[in-house]
Amino acid sequence: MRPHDHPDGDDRRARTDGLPVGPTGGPMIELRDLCKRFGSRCVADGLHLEVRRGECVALLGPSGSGKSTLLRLVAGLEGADAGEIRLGGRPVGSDLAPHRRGIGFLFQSAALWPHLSVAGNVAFGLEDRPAAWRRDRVASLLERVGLAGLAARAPATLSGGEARRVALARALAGQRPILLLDEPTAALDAELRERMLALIDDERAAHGLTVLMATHEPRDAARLADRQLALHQGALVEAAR
Amino acid sequence: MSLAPLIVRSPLARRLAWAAFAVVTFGPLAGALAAAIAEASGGSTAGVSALEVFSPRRLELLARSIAFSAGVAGSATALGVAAALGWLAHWPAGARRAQVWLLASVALPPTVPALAFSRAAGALAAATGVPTIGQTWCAAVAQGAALLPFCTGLAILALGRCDPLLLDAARMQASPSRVLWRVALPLARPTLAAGAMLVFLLSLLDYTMPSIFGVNVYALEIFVVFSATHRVSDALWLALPLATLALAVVTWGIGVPRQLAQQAGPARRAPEAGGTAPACSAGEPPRVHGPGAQVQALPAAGPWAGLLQALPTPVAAALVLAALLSALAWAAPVLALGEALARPEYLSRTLLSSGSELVFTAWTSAAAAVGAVLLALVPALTLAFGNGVGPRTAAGAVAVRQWPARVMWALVLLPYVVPPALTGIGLIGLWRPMGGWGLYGSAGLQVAAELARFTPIAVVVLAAAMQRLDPTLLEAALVGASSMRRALSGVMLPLISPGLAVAAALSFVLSLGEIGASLLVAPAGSATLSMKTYNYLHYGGSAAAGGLCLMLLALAAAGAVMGAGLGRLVGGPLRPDGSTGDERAKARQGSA
Repeated sequence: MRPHDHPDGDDRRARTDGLPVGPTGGPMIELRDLCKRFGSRCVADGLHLEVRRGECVALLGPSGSGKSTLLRLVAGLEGADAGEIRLGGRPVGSDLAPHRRGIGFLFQSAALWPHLSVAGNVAFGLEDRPAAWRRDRVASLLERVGLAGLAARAPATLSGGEARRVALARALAGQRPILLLDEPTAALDAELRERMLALIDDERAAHGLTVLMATHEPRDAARLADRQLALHQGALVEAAR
Repeated sequence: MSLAPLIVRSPLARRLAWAAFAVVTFGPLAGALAAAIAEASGGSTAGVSALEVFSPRRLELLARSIAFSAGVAGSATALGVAAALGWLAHWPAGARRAQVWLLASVALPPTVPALAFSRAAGALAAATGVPTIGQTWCAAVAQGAALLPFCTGLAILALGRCDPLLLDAARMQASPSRVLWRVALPLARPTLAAGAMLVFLLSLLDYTMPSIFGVNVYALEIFVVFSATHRVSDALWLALPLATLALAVVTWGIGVPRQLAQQAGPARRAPEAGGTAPACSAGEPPRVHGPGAQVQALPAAGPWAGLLQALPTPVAAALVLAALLSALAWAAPVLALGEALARPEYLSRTLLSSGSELVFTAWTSAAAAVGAVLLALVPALTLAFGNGVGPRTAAGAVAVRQWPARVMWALVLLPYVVPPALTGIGLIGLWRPMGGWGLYGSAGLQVAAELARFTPIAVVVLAAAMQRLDPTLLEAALVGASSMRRALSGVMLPLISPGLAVAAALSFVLSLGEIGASLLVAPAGSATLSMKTYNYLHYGGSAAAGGLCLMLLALAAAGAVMGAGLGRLVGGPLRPDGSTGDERAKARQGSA
């Protein structure tokens, strides 16, 4: 049985150009001397970070401290001014397209495409998989996020919590080995928050995902993360637990 | 409760305003119908019958006109999208700056690009020694090239308004080509479709450009037959197929403003409902998602540059080529007019001999602009904020799904199905039998024709400007102001003043270039600059036409500047203390 024969099977080779399959135990995400400025505002100033395979690291800090930018740099949505980013032990330059980096990204807002249905949003990145697998995967994920009956709905008809769950399903759908979470529980009530975190935790445990999470919610960090770091004036420091 | 009844409180005043709009815009069509009925009841039988309308020759002409218009609309839109992508990828800041100029080119009097491209065709023939391609192709290329800058500007607007976060989310999952086809273009589709629809209708209903190149199109047939027979019923019969087709396009298009309205105001999409764009209040720059938002202007350079530069080299090269073509199409009229400037003897003679046309054009266009804006106010208000019949949708969105709103949009868009020639014929049919009442044979008929053609455009522009406002700003003014007058003058007018200025300037410039109806209704002995240019171009006087085009452009520029001045006078940018232009003027008077 091939890995993608089952929708919940582990198939991390697809769409990652072999990334990231670094040595076991080595860092999956590695930032070296990373610098990024927006005008006079310094987001990263010679920043270093290592996230091991299967590890979950939370980036804490107030709004505007640069947490989201750091995630976007890793994802390839922003270019660094200087420094190096390594994924799976291999350096990745700006020439490696975001969708080739093996990253699932949950954006701070749901960012659902309004012209695609819920199922269309979740299945968008799965075009190179067999149709039956894709269908099963979407159904399975929607069921797990508690939205099994909403596959055909338009994003505009969803509530905020539903939209966030669809966005999470989309980020997980491709079974990418790295998961970037930008404020995963922002504006969710306690019950939904717990449900989202549990799902992320389950996925991480089941597939050994490496998770880098930006949050200003210490409870989320405590719930999910193995390590908590604070971003302060362009540098990362160990956050107090 | 909708806002319109709160702002214009008297139902009678609202009904009267709508009635005035309907009389001005549908009057010509009603006049044509009345005249046709009168001709039929008068026992006149010598004219065009239904059989003649659908004669093989006319059906072929209609088919060729449709193919001409569809070809122009399709190619200009496709090339415009490619050009916009090229601009956004390689010159994003310039694309935003150029967008306004590109869009404004649609208002350029059609004689200006006609002059440029007839010269270009002549120069090409002279340089290659090969006779120019067929006249129909020449006209199609000229029409397409004249509208390409507009299509490019619209595509930049549509693509630049795509939420960068949605593009980023797609880039994380799929190749650049797929992101482009499956996300970026579908997101921009409503605006692109609206542009294509407009270009199709402009090409189908107006005969100016084809006739300058000596190409017969169906719209010209209406003018020719009426000129020969002076029978309104003939023109009406002939216009029927064209109007039916245009009606079908506009009926389909009624959904487009609705989609645009839903996309328009960032404040209108509830973020909790899957929407991603946060509220953006008036006067505040649009917020861009992402950490670079504070330093990044729309259209976001990041996603587009990253997305498009990752495309295969041949595709990227094609986009750059399209961008260059678009810039050339924009520059061609300017270059052609530069040539006219280089021949001062022709220029001065033309200017000296066209004083009366200049004055006539200026005042009729100005009157049409002012009238169009005044007539458009209440309809635009109702379209933007609902009519009080049905409940408004969540987050202030326009309730255009409900039938009263759809009917109102239809009323506003319906005049677009009337060919310009029929507008002129209808006005003649309406006023000639009544002995004119002082209007027939006067400049008033010219103004009436321009009002009939361009008031709907003023309504759409104003409604779009109002829809972009956050309704809560107006509601707060209605609740908090000491009087309705204060709410209107202190908040409403300043907020919509940019829309007022654009609507007035657009009506003015479009009136400058109007030919289709003017050729029929202009009083004897008077002519607009566009009519005179059209005649010169028709008979090969391109040097004199260049001088006239320069005068037209100068007038258009003056209109744009006056429109901007009007906007500032009415509202002006709000100062930190909240005072507006008229309050500052009062303060200045007080201190004096």
